[in-house]
Amino acid sequence: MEQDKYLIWLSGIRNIGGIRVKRLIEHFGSAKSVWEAGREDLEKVKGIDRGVIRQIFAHKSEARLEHCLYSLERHNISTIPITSAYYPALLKEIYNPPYLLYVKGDMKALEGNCIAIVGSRNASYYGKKVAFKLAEQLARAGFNIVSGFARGIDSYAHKGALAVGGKTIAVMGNGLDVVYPRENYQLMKEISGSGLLLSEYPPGTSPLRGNFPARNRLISGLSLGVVVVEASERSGALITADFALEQNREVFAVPGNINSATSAGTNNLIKQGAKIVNRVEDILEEFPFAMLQSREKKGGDNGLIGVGTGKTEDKVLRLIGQQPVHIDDLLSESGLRINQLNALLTHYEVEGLIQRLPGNYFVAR
Amino acid sequence: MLSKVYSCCFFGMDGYCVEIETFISNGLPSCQIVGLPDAAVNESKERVRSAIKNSGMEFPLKRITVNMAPADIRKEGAFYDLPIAVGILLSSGQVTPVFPLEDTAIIGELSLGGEVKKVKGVLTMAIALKELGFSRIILPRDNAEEASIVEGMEIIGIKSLDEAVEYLKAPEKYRRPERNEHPPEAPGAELDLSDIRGQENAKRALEIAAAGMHNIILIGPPGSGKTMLARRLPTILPDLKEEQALEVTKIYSIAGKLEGKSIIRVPPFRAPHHTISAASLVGGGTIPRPGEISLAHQGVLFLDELPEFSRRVLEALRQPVENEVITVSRVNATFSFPAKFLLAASANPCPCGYYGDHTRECRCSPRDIQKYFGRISGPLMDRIDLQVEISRVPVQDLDRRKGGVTSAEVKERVIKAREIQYNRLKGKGLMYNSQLSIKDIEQKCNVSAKAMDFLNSTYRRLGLSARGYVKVLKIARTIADLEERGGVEMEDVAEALQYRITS
Repeated sequence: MEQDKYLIWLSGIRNIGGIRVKRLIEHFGSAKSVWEAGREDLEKVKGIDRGVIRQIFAHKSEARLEHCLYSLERHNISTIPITSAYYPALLKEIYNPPYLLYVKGDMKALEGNCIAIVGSRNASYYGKKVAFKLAEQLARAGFNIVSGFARGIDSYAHKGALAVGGKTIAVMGNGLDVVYPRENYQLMKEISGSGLLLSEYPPGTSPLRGNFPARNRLISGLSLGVVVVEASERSGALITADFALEQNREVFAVPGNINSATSAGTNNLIKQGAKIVNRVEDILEEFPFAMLQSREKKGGDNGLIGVGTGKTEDKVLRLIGQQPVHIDDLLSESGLRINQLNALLTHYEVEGLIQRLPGNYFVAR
Repeated sequence: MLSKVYSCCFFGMDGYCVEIETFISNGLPSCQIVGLPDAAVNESKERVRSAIKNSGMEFPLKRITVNMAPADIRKEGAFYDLPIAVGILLSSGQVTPVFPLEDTAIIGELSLGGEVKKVKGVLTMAIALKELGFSRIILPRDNAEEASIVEGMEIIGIKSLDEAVEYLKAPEKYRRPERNEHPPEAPGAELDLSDIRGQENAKRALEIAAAGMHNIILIGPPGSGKTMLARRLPTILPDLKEEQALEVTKIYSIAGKLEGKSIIRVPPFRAPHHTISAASLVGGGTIPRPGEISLAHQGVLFLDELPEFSRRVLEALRQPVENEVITVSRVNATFSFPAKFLLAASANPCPCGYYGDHTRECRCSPRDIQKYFGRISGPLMDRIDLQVEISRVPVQDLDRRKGGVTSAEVKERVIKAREIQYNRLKGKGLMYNSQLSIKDIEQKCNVSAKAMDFLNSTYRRLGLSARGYVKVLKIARTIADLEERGGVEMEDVAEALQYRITS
């Protein structure tokens, strides 16, 4: 695909969003003509004031543009203008679609049906596990999993999709050559291999605070529905849910413990009418076509969360379920001595039956 | 006329004899002190003058020269007031002792009114003087108790310059003050492990720490009881053995912190605030004084909120934790203070304190947490054997949880375990399992093949480092000692594996 370098220039100008780019191109016919246009010509365009014109001129530098093109090539980043056939149809419907998308990875990920799985960065063990499982099962049902590449839930959603060989799209709030958060370096490599990294920001853009809410509109915009797995009362995932409603997408929420701070936001969403998700079918049944597909590809376990391990006669093991249990409660309920209990817990842990969480809590694996 | 009296000084942990010569000759009235006196010693002539006059005697209006030998050691402190005053009185012929003063040492600070005040380091000095062949010490009444630990010394406790003079004139009139017997001290007796509900895991870890003198860190959110737990650590430590008690008392004597006690038998507990400087933690000063780590010798040094301590302070801890002694070097000498202590520390799991908490959300990024714990250097963390996480007990659950074991029960087990360790390790000159090296463990610890296999097969899975491996073995050895088992079994290793941090 021939890249329009002037389009890259135009959409890379700060403070000029998709709408203004569209107006400018409609007025001048092409991005190249915008580049060549003089001040007086620009002033005639609706919504383009002196401030914006100053920005346009300030940004007009061949050297800088060349550098941008160079980083695109170096990092293997492609661009998709809104006019391209690759541009996701659903995204075009939203109020303010970016005129140009930067992508890296497998473009086929844009073709299928997408579902977004989002949630807190400070997720609990429960949230991470549900995000992972849901992503696995939705991916198996043929959905592509969209998420925001943040820590916590987002990362686990991506990982879940990758685990079953599904497609996943990471929508970033920074340039695609910037690794953020840093610890996700490995994950980023994997996604650019078998999934897709997507951003509306040109290479070199740092993860600025303000980019993330704007990124959230793309997450919901790309998807048929948004599943909020875990969100505290002020979580950014709730912004995504708001965008989803605005864009007329389905909103799902996974219920949590009413005492858990990390589930306060999702429980509120349910109160406000979001669809409650106990099983993956709760999501699939909203998309009948997907139900059909999933029936064809049945396989793997369908339960979202196992109910204990159930297999054991062991008294202590039975006390450890999906809710984290504190060691003091295990002690009083098992009637063991602390040294015996600790030894036992190590054995279970080594055998992979339980998982130790921070603060001496234990859950079944 | 020339007179000669003996006094004493101390450097680090050792006392030295100081000879004080006084010469009075005709000339312009003056008083000179020579022999490297510091400011406090030089000022003593003012106190001496006033004290002599106010005791109804005469300060000679002549040329007075006081020489302190050996002349090359710097004399510090105010405890030369009394010997200088006595020297002047002898020289001026106002006092004639009825017995020779060759085997008598005099120590004490004077007030302007002639009272004798308590000084620091008397125990150390008394021990040194005994070794040097002295048989009598005249010292402040308030220090008499402390010095009386040294057997075979005649301790003359006096309250004023007058009394000292009286004694020199008529020693037979001296009445030994009644020894006020201290009841066996048990500070913190009002504390008990059973005060804490739940947290059995942490209590068990404290028991292990106390038994093997393993350093321990408690990690948990605010309000989870870290400090409460640590403060109860002394209640489960065995009383000090005779030579330990003497050493600890010596340190407290030098630091002037004895507070009327004669001998310290209860392991000390020190909890310096995190704003402490490196010098006051490890010991310092032109003539170094013992720091907090030495005051915690044979006891517990509790560092609450460990990551809040300055990096410099924590780094200064490394050498003493390893060597059990702190060496402070100064231009004129090098001083060593013993510092074998149990390091107990507490920390929040993250800067905001709520990481891993199930009721409040943690607002820290992984980077913040990494930075927070990054303040504790790896080498220091490596020296902390037991790493225990605790969490808050919800208020509504407090009633449900039991107090559990009492300090007395635990202390009994600890004493037994210490005895077992002592018998096993005395050939090596060690006392505790925490002092073991990997080689010692192989030779002495009798780890069963099954236990070894278990550890070898799991330590990688659980993400342990090579150092972590040794720690687990040491702790397992202590656990086996607590259970009075000769060999380390698989169960001991399995339990030991629980006392580490989940990341």
